[in-house]
Amino acid sequence: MSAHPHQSSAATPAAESGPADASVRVPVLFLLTSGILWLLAGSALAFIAAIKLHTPGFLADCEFLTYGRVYPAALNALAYGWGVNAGLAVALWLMVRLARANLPGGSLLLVAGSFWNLGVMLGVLGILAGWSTSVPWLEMPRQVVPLLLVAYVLCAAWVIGALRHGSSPRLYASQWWLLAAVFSFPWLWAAAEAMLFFAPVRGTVQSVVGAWFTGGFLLLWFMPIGLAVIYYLLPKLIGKPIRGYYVAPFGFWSYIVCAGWVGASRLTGAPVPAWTQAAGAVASLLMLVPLAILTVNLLYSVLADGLSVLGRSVVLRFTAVAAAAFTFCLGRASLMILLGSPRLTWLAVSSDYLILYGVFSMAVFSAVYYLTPRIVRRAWPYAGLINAHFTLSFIGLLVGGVALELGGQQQGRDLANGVAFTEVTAHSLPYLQTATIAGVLLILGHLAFALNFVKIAFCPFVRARANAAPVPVELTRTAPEMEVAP
Amino acid sequence: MSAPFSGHDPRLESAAVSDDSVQRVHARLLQEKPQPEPGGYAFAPLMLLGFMSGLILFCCIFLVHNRGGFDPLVYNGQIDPKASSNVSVELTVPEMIAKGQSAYAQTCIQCHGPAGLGQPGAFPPLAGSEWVNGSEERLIRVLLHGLKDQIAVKGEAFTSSNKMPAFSAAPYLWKDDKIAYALTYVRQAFGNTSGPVSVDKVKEIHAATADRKSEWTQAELPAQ
Repeated sequence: MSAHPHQSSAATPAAESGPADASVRVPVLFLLTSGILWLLAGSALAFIAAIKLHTPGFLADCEFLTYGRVYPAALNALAYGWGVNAGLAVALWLMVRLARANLPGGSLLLVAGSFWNLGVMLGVLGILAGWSTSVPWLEMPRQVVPLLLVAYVLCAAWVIGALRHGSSPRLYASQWWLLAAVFSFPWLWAAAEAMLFFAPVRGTVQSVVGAWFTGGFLLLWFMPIGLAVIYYLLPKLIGKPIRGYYVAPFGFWSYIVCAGWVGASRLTGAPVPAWTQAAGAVASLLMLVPLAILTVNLLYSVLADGLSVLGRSVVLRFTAVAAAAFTFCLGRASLMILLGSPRLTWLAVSSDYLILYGVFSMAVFSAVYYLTPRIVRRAWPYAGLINAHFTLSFIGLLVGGVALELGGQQQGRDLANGVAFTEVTAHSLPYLQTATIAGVLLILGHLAFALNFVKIAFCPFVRARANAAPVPVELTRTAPEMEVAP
Repeated sequence: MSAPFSGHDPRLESAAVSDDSVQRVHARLLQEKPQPEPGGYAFAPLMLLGFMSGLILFCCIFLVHNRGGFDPLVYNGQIDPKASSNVSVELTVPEMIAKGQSAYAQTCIQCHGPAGLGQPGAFPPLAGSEWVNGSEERLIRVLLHGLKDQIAVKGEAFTSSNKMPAFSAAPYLWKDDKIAYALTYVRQAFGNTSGPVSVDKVKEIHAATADRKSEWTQAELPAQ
């Protein structure tokens, strides 16, 4: 590293991991800890739901744990508990870093964060108690939604505040994507809640609103957070600029313009006006433009120099998998439109799973592995657990994705051939069992992640502080300058 | 813990470059457009432009083929409600009445009046009329092809120089469904309580009387 010609100069004496990281330590750790707890709880619930799909007798006597309650509880715990907590943590840290802001009183965010988690907990318990609204991705009882919205706004305001009060004069691509996510989510959510529960629209329009929200939540919250992380970590870890960066703004805007419409393509073949379905399909196809640009920006930036760099860095491997999953997700969505693939099968579940796990979670994992040592100023205790986490989650992602993909195609063929419904269900069993095995791998990975996180984040507070290790030299030095692209 | 961390130790992944330089270099990259090959063009932007244009063209064609006439009631994009006359959208009776009412208010009201009372000696009433509340088939025939000369309604004779026009012909050119809606409306308005007239029934009668070129007379339409 020190072979770089432009080493740290006296003009920039402060180490990179400095007051900015320290100022968000408490809120970021809080959001990450609650996010990881939700990840574990959500995975456990999802695991129960997955078993029930092929072994319906499992826990069937317990009213709280029937499939109709466990599945939405798992989905909401993962989306709002893990997704929003971890997303906000990463967004806050990245924004503070890139804006070079110093957040005073960031610990006030704990209040808002606590209310967010209280709200999600009430919502998930409400679903388990049978008060689900029964609208996919919006099952939490409407009574907790105002609390959650206020808590979210108070959390997200810090991200905006960091940008507003930062000293950096330049905006980097990660910041565009973070802002898009932070602003889109409350708008999508509040509008969907209002139109579905507080002042319900009539009939068919409800399913259109539901699909619009789900598509928006996936493409305008989970995806952008993942993309922001990838845009940041690739040059940071590889040391080379993003390829074709000059079209990145166009990629961003074309994505934002189309993404809101893509949700309607979830209704292909459903009893909603044909033009709505056609508009969704067209938006999905137009996403090929940002897909092409972002693939060059991200995936090609990883692959251009060969795979050797991936072999060396586990964190970069997480990032690279997220970049590859992004290209795969959007490419497949367009292909499904062109081929007229059957909807309402496991294929749809597999798409959502790829975005939620393949893009968002993998990117957030890489960000957490990168940022946590910098905010707590010590290294991760177990390298083996990080490797194990990557291996388990990568294999789990692959196995689960392939199982749902093949199962969905099987289902589509059967339905098209008029096979009896019980037969269709029977045919999909092996795929669902495979998906459960993938779930086991993912949960093991999450446990490795959580164990490592607890150790790095909380050990100094548990043990006596006297024997704390000295701060690693990596955290006190200034990172080298990036060379100008040839 | 005291062991130094090499560049890619997962326990402490080192930054290859500083945040500030990442932002500075990329800000400059945004300004710099790709340089053309000597004596040629920059290939990548042209390719992107071509790809986008092709995609937009394809999407336009796709949308036209799947739009379903932008009709809120068409759920299958392959069907154009205007082009395919054999596809009719089933309306509920209240919807038929609503459409029939607007047809009545635009056209029929001029002779038969807002309360369906007609005009003594000139235009027969619809309210309580045995023609309106009687045979559907006769009523449909009247609206399809019109009625001329004399008509007796509720024991009163009407002879008007203005005959009842044929609504399936020019200048009205009402479709069969509109005729069904208007009849359904008048059969339950103005105190009438007769059942609805289905679109299929109108189609059936229309097909059976397709050769009819002139208006009916009362003698041709005996009460059944």
